[in-house]
Amino acid sequence: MRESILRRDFLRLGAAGVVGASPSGWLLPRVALAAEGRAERPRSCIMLHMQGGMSQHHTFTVPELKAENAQVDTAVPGVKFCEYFPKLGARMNDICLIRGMSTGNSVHERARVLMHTGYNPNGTVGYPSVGNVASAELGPPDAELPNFVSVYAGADGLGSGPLHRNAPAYLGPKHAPVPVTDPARGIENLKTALGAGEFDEAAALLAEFEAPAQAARPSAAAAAHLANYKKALQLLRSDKMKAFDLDREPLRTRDAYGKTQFGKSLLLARRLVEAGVPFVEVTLDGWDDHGGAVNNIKRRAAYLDPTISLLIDDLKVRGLFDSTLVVMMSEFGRTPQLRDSGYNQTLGAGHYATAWTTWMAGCGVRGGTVVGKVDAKGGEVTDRPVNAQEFLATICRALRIDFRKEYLSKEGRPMTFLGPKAEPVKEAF
Amino acid sequence: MRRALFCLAALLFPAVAAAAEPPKAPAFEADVLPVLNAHCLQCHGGVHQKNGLDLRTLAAVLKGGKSGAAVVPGKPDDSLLWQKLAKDEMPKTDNKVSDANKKVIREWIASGAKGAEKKAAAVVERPAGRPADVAKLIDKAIDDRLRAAKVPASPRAEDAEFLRRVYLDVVGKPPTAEQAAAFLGAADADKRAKLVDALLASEDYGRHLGERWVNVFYLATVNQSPRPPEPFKGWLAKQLNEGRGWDAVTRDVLTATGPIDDAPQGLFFYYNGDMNSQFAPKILAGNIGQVYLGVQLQCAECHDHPFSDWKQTDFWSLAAFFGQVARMESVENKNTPGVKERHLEVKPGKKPPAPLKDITISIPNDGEARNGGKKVPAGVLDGARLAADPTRSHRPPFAEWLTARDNRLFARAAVNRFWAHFFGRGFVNPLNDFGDHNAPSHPALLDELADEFVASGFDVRHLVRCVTLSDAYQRTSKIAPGNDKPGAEALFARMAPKVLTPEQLYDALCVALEVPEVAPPADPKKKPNPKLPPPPSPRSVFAAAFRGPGEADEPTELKLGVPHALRLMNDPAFNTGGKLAERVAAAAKSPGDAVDAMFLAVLSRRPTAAERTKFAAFVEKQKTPRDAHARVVWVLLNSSEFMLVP
Repeated sequence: MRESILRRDFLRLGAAGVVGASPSGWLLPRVALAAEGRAERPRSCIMLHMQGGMSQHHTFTVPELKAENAQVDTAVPGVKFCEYFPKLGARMNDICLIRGMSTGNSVHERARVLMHTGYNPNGTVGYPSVGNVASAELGPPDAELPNFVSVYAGADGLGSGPLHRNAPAYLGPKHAPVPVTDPARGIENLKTALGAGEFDEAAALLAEFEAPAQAARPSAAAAAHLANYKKALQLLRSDKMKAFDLDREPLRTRDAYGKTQFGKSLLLARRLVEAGVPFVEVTLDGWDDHGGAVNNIKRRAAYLDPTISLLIDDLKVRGLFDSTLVVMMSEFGRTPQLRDSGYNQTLGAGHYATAWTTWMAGCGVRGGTVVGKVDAKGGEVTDRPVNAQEFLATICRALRIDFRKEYLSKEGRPMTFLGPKAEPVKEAF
Repeated sequence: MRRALFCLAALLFPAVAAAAEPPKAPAFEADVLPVLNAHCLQCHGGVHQKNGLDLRTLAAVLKGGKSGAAVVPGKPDDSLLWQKLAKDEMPKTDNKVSDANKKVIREWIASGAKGAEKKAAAVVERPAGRPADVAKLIDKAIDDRLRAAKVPASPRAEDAEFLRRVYLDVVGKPPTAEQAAAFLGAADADKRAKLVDALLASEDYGRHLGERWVNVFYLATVNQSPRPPEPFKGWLAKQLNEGRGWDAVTRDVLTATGPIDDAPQGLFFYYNGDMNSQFAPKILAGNIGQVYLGVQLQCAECHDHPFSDWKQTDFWSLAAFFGQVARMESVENKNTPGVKERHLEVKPGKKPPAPLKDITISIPNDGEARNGGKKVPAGVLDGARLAADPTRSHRPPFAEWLTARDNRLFARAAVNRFWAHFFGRGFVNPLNDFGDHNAPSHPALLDELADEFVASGFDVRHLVRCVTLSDAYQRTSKIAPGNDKPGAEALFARMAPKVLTPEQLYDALCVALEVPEVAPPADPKKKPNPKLPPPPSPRSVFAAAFRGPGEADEPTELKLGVPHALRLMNDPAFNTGGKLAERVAAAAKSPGDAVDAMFLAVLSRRPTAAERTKFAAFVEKQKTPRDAHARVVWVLLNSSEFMLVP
């Protein structure tokens, strides 16, 4: 279905002699490849979501004034990270650092919605998250594996409300994420209580029982039920489900990713991407460092820095880096030292959405790039602010997702993922 | 007998009896507006009015845009609208108007470009009808439409199908094996009506309908961790079981004041709050509009509605009634949850504030809505202003207006929702989109049932009786030749299979497995902490897991996904056969007996002969009877028949 639409588009565009005529202008290369019979590796994304508000001051944008940390050189001359992230620094050649994040919302739950959907929640219209959109646009509808997996990497620090849930909104429930609450256990309820032979017998009886019921009382709901069970059985019996089983990874690799739930989550994410899952979101909760970020981030960096670096290397070794986007983001950053006493005397104590940092790597993103500058205190963006829609548009651009494609909401309102003004950060490519 | 009843009905309700209408000239609202909606209103509606042209109402069409009137009544060839459409100059997109629709537009202009006759709403002054008579009225209206459309109706459902349906619809759970056996074995010709009466008299009636109604709001909550809805559900269950009128219940909800412990219906305001659980007038206005008035006002929060003539000021006028409502916690700074008004009380010894000319609300100036900063006076949708006294709550006058016997929007929206509860779809769909642009499938019947609801004093039990006694409700959901074509579902030719809500599914699992709860066994190492609030019930944990994030329930749409299917298949809490498999293993004399007992317990019916043979053979092949029974229960529980209301 998808293939045929692409093909039709290509023929029509080709006949008209138009280049880049899709609304956002990037569909053509993939269509052209498909038409030549050269399959390009499908694109994927691993989004590392640091829930709670990751301090930029103690990670990737140490301020000139009032810094609490030393800085380390990175692979790119003149670009420095916080001393806790030397290994990622050594991979700065692969990273596009966005230092001018300026998103305007510093309330946890609302800001998480904004950073995932591009919109502040308004209670009227529901918006899908970038992962839901990737599921709809990149995932083959008949894929054996889920098209969007959301992995919980645990909590390390102060919580800040419930885990963000990626509601598929107008895209429909089949684009909801499949949750993994423990990467060591994978998808729950995959093991049957019965032996394989006995289970197959019961499943065969169910199929026989189901057929006449479906014929006598056809309905969309009954058909959807049957489709769910077929897919569930397919999953149970699929070889591809091995992707969820970390025990199949050599001991050496498992050791390298380490014993933390975060490390295991990254290993799982890599295995899923390798098996063709288009979008994996890994959420590490606990970043709401109101008491000060420096010690908390030192503790987290001890496993974040080596494991994320390993993920990048691992993707490269496996030939996946050019087709896999790695994103590290949060709902906002943390306050610069605004005052010398009182609430904001500690660097990073408060929520701050005016000037903060995210980064992306892989999937055609230009490594070694720094987009945007902040002032000496790290409190204002002095060059190239990037808002939530531009951030998401950049992810879409890397994944070749047309973020201006029209969908219809239930009320018949035409919806696009991002608004008409959204443009990707062009410096990232 | 049947004939006599029809005559009686005709005497009682002449409007419906005369509903076979002769062919009429096309009318703007019913015939033309749907075409304009599909092709023109994107550019000439509430959001954009290109060239100054607005095509949403007849008056606006006749007024026209910068190029003059769009229509000259009686003269299609002189009418701009016709000229542009005829030559496909409009719409400019590829979405051209079909020849059939062009013909409609041309005939409409030629016949004088008329609108529908608007009848003034009359207050219903008659007594309520007898449920059986109203049921006949329902059937006449539905059957007339089916005949006209030449769509055959499916036959009356067998007792077992009716039994399972009416249990799930009225009390929210299927019958136990014992209840099913009793009903199926009874020879009483009137047993269906008696069963409806018995179900309506049980506490579970209020529990189920109350829960469904509270969930409409609870599931739409923007905040991701809303307060648990159980107190509100319990309160509404009590009101319904006591037989209070829907108007009075609604007034109590909208005017709730005080701590949640005393007025649990105040949770309504928590579910209409923003992300931080602060009560939000705009969310209240949007949801009250959708649920109690059946109109999509919420589109008018930021701009005039694109497809109907709701103005942005209509939305904010309604929101203005709720400008003073606030959480008790934020007003009193105590930890008692509840509903409070910001300046309701006049302090003793202080002069009361001067009366306001108008209650007003300001459109937020946040760059999202148009006209940010503009002050809008409180008002109801027909334009009337209600008296404003700053020392009193603004909500009671609004609630009185909303639930008045002559507010047809309220009665129709309620009847449409209750109808959809039973039939899986309303006369108007989506349920919250009444308006000239979206005509009801059975307009006269909807009006008649709304009148009946008013005449009965908004008695929900009466409405349920009328609906469930109709042949339309008692039809099988099996297709009959010729009634599975597209569009037939809107004619109610067969019963639409509905999806169990997560709560219904949980209760159905408990009934089928003959256990009080289905939940993983508690961890004996974990001791309950008396300082913490009690953990949520297994039922509410199950319901939360079986709904997607931000998902409302849709009656006929299955929203469960693969993770749920896997859980139902493989979670030991659901698939080891429960007490049912044990009971059957102890009591059944033969594999066939066992199969009979399990079908009755899980699906509320006896197996067909072919099913009995096949399942009995399966039972005999398994190693032990206990295993065999657990597996048969597994098959039945995982079937679509179990997951759907038949």
